[in-house]
Amino acid sequence: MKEFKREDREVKLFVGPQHPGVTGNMSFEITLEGDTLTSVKTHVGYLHRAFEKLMERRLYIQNFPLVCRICVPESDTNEENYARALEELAGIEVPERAKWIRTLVLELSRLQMFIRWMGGIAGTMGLSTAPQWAIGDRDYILDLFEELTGGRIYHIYILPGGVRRDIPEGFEERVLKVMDYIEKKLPDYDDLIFENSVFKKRLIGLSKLDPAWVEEIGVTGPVARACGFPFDVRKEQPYEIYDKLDFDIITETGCDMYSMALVRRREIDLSINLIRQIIDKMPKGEVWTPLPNVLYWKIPAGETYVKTEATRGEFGYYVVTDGSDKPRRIHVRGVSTPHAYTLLERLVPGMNISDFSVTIVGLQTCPPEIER
Amino acid sequence: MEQTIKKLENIFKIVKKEKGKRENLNILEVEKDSLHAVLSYLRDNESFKHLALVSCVDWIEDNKFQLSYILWSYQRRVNLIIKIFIDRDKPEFKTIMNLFPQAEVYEREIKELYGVNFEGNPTQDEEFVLEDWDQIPPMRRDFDTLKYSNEMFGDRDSEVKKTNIRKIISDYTDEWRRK
Repeated sequence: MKEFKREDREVKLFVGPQHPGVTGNMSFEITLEGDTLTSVKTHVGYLHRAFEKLMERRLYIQNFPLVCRICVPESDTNEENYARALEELAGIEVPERAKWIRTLVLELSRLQMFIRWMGGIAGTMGLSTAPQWAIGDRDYILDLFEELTGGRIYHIYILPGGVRRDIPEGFEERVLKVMDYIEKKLPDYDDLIFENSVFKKRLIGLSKLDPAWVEEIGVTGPVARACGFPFDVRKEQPYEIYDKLDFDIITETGCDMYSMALVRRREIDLSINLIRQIIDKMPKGEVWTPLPNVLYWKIPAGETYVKTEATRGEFGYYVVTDGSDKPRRIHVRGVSTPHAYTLLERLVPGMNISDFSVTIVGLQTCPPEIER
Repeated sequence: MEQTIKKLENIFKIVKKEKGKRENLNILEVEKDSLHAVLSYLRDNESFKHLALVSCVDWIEDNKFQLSYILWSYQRRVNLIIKIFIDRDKPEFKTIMNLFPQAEVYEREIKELYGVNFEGNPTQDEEFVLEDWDQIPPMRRDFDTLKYSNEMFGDRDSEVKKTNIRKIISDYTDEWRRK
């Protein structure tokens, strides 16, 4: 009888770059033994648009149409980060009301992303009603964005010195109405997804992390908070007006995919709560500090690193200036880089192939922010 | 934080101290030979356990590359940027993978985009975002994107180019003015 070696039993498969179970255009080279994964190798580069190179050749203000495209569904985080970095380096003060409006926009953006994710993870597991609901409900928030900024996905609303214009009349009531509607729908989502026995059975215990990895490999966001690790940039290093809002960091202790899902589910409640607080407390006043002529705008030499809490974790901008009218270097810290490489390589061995897509969506990897 | 910097100064040679633009950001320039010792000291004794980013900046005028290591302390809630300068003609340095495993990917990216060789990183020669790249590393300041694009794709005779868009606009505005 012929003896089989281990190498003979292993099969190599490519998942992606076009695959319904993978978030965006990235590819995974997986090695299988039967149904069980033994290793994974991540490949990016299908979406490389050389943004960082392009930004070095453009004026500061001309980069805004680029930065919002770095992570497509969550553009405001990029705009806010880049604007805040320039403000720090150029020493520009932002009016109080503009900070409140920025926080409102960031929270709305987080909320729509979490709702979209909720549909995404349910869709990957075959619960195809949830994506239909989620995409529909997310559209109500996009309608608000369209009214406020003129764009549904890319807003270019946050600029250095404040925001482009004040919020329209009656906007607050419409935001509250949408919040009421979403809150009313959430129990249905709970019944459909989070209390669903299939969902629970598949996710509890899946992709179990060792809590020590969080510090060791730089895991952030809901993945870290699912391990009971209270790290939230909004609380740890408050930006805009998060220090004036009343909230607690959400943590779970399961360290598995279900805990990550629960953290994100509770983040939806938190976002709605924060949006209500912001609308309740928002002061009146100016929303814009006039900039010098932006076509001749020179920023003194220096470097800074700013970060925000995106839905996936710590999203940062490292900006270096040299005193000219163009940036010397802009490096974007995509949250997914440690998640899609180092963490995934540790999670995968021993996993069933049918759980692989769920893991990718559960970690909420976003390839454009890895390659920029 | 000042105490930490003082302690560091006693042990290592700090080339330059800079205060960041806000309270919780500090920037230190150290000698390249002592970087590993500084990072491991900060990680083990001063609670800077989270490496957020490894970045590279091209200072072509000074013929140098700047490598920046951005750290975060969970306990103190402070960001610290440690930077070093390496020779641009001989872009070589050692990996910090043994201290921070996630640095592997960042170093691989820098190797591809700037050509800095990180000794001891096993995956740095694999392609990251580029495919069959035969030019100089593209993020270097002396890489001419326009020239590369013209050589690679040529002067394409497209419909857009044939149309004289400026004339169309000026005709249109003239007509509009006449009205």
